Amino acid sequence: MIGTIDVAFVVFSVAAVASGCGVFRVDSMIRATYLLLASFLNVGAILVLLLAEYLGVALLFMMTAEMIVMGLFMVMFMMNPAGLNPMNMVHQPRFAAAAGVVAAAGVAVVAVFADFPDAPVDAESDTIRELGIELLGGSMLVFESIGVTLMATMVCSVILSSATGRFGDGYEGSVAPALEPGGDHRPADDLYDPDAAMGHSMHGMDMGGMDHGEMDHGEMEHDS
Amino acid sequence: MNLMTVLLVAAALIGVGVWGALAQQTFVMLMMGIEMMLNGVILAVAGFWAFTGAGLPKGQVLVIITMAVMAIELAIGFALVTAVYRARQADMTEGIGSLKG
Amino acid sequence: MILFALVGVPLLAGLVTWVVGDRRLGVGSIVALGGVAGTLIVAIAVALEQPTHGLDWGGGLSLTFEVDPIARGPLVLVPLVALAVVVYASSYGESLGRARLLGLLSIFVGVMELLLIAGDLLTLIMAWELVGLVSWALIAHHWRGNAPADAAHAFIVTRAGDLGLFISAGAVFATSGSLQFSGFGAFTDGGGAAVHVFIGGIVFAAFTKSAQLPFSPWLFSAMSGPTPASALLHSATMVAAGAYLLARLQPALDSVGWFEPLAIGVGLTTALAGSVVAAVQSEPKKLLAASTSAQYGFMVVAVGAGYPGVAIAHLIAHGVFKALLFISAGVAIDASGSSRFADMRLGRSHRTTAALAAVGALALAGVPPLGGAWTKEAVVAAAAHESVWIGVFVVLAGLGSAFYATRFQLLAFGSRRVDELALAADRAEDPTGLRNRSTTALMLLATATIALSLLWLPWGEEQLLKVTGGEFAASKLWEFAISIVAIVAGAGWAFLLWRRHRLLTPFGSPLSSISDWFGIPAATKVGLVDPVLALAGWAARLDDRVVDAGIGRISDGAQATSRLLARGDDRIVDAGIGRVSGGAQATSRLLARGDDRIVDAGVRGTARFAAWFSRMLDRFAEHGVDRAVDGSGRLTGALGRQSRRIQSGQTHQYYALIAATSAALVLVLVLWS
Repeated sequence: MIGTIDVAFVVFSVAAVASGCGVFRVDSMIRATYLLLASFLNVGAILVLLLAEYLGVALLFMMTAEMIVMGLFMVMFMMNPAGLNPMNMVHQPRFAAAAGVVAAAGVAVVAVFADFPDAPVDAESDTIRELGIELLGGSMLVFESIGVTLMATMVCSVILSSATGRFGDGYEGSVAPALEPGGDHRPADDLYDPDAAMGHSMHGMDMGGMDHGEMDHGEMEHDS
Repeated sequence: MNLMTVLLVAAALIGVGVWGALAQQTFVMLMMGIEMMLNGVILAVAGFWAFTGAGLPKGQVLVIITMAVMAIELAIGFALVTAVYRARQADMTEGIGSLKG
Repeated sequence: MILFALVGVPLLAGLVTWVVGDRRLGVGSIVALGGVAGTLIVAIAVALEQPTHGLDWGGGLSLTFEVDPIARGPLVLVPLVALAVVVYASSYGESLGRARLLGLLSIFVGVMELLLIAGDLLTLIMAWELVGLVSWALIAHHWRGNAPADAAHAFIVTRAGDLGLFISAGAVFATSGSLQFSGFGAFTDGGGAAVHVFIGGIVFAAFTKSAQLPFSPWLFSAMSGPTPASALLHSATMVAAGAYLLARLQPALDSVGWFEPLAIGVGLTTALAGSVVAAVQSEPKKLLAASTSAQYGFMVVAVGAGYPGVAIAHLIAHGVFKALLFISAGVAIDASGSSRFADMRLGRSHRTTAALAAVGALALAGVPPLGGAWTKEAVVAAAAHESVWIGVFVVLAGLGSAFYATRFQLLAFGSRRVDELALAADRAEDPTGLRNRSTTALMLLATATIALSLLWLPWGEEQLLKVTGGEFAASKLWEFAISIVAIVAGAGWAFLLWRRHRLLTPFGSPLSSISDWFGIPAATKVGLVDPVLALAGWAARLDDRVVDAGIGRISDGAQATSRLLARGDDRIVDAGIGRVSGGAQATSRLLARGDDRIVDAGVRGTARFAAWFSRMLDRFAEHGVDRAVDGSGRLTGALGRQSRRIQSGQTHQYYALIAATSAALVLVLVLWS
């Protein structure tokens, strides 16, 4: 007999895979973000069906917040957030499709042919309570390490994206030094465009060749 | 719903993630591909825990670790994207090619 | 004996009609009509009497003919529908070739009756193949334009499905030694791999014949045939063979665990997908073809749920009203001169046809108290008995069928806007009595459709139970209620779109991939047809090159050998004669100069040998070594230059390299351990 759980599982999994495919097919970037969110929500629902309720709900919360942040980054970095122009920005499409198929086939082969032990989770046991006791008991080290790693990540990301670099302003301090002494400050193929850096147009090509140590930072008008 | 079907869904998600990560030109979409792969991995781990783990709590801890890895990867990834953009004005993978030899 | 009459009368009548030819069409039409009418009478007698017969074919094979209780309904249905269709066909189209059309229709009736009375798999396979052949001949009847290619498409798809029957026959014969239907129960109870193969083959053949997903596109190709053929074959009878087979063998098929979910899944998906495809079609015949697939999906769901009697009941009701709708579509196509909905809307000029078609459309939509509605409710009950969700989805498919039935009726026979009435009046000519004949046919089928409404009475349900010999699931009130709600919703939505003049394109601009069965034909072409054709072309080229090269080389070799032999022969003969004549002189000269010559020749020979040896050494040894060293150096240089190309600087290519290498690594690890 086909139960409600099976129908729900089929519906969620089809929705997860379909929205996952849709992420890379739609023109609008915001829609791609929301389709990724939909995929995660469906996986979270499947996790709830698998009796990992805490994990499923945690996934839902976490992914919602993540996708909001990703939406912001989409609007910042992508050229077509509203999807008004149809565009198809892919490279090596056939190889990528083949690689995707191979990867999926590899896992699918394991799924179908491997002999897994049969030890289903007990439906009456309180998995959330056991998880809590485990996290704060036997796996306390793991939990703490994750916390410290997250803090390191926060510090790291702030440093990486801060506007003030090691040798001066972010736009100029992160520029690669000259290949030969006295030459241009960059190989010819990736000279940066001074007009693209807003508010820093005075850092033009005349900077090339100057010894960075002699720059007088006090003359720069930039917000520190 | 048994282990095989859950793993097949996870395989599909991983396949979609690999395809997206290799085919997309912009960094942000590349990261979305990696997110999809991790999505599939989370589903597979949860499936293994539900059907072969006998409710062992350490299985759920593994899923939590994977979710934490996702968050860390997202944060550092976006910080790097910002830094790369500031340095090279590149928002696509074709934009940075100074390793060409 | 009477069974031979059942099959033989229509076959004979068909052959006579065909042979009599186009010059004496009046005689031919009467013979065909008489043949089908006679078949109808014989079929009723056979259905009441249920005789059996056996034929020993030799070699351990025997043919059995029996009338299973479940086959009695279809036995009478086929000649009944054929009667109406032959009446319609006797004045359809052009008179060139009409004798062949009538003849083939009659022959088809005979072959289909043979299929229905088959009692073992061998007879069934023969009848199945013959039915496919007659279908091909009928689809390609006009032998112009797309018809031959479409007929080939339909024939190839159904023939591929017949492979399933062959495989099943092989499996059951190898394991149990007999092909009788009556032995299948014990065979499938035995279990084992042969049972799975057997059931898989039968299911495959039934699904292709009944145009279920993913084999549905062939039915669209079949619509290139003449409308009488579509009305008889591709709505009521030939595609019914698949559903009939599943219903007939259902107790045996149910012994594996995967038959039920497969049948329900495929049937439900076809029903839903067919409704969507039918809703966006721009031609009436294609809409009806998609609807046929969807309705057979209902029957497959009923069989999967374990109620073959329900499936046969729906088959009977569907056959009658679908043939009715096809004939009305044929009248509409003929009257409007084009095969597209956009040129129709003949409500005012063809009132009788429109009214009779409305009966069929109502039955298709499932509006009580018509018979088609009762059987559809029985399908819903059977599905809901299996699982509530499946019943809900069947009701959803019912909504779809209400929508497209209303759409068909409104687009083909709705009333025109006032400014278009003049154009309609011009086009409403009546060529050579077609109207009267088609109206007769339509009336016959409409009467049958309305007569089936008796099923709503308890007396009618009893009679149906006796005729089909199956059982029906009890229907609950809430199922009936949501069915009615779904029908009203579907029809109401169609009316709403009709008011806004958007019924032709209900989902905006026509989405060609949806209307073409979601791109299945294109996928089949890319995935199946093109590789096979490419493989065939490659094999042909390989054959040419290898065979030609081989033969060419053999002939070259023979020529070279003969030339060699000729030269050798000449040289030996000439040299022999020359030597003999000069031998004497030479001998004397040699004796004179013998000593000096020998000494000189010896010295010179030694010098020459030394020179030759050093040249050889130079050419092969030094030269060879030099070249080897140079070559390895160049190779290394080239390898170095090429390996620079991996360093492209492009991140995505590095990722691709990582992915490929990881896959290779995993493969090596797996194979090594």
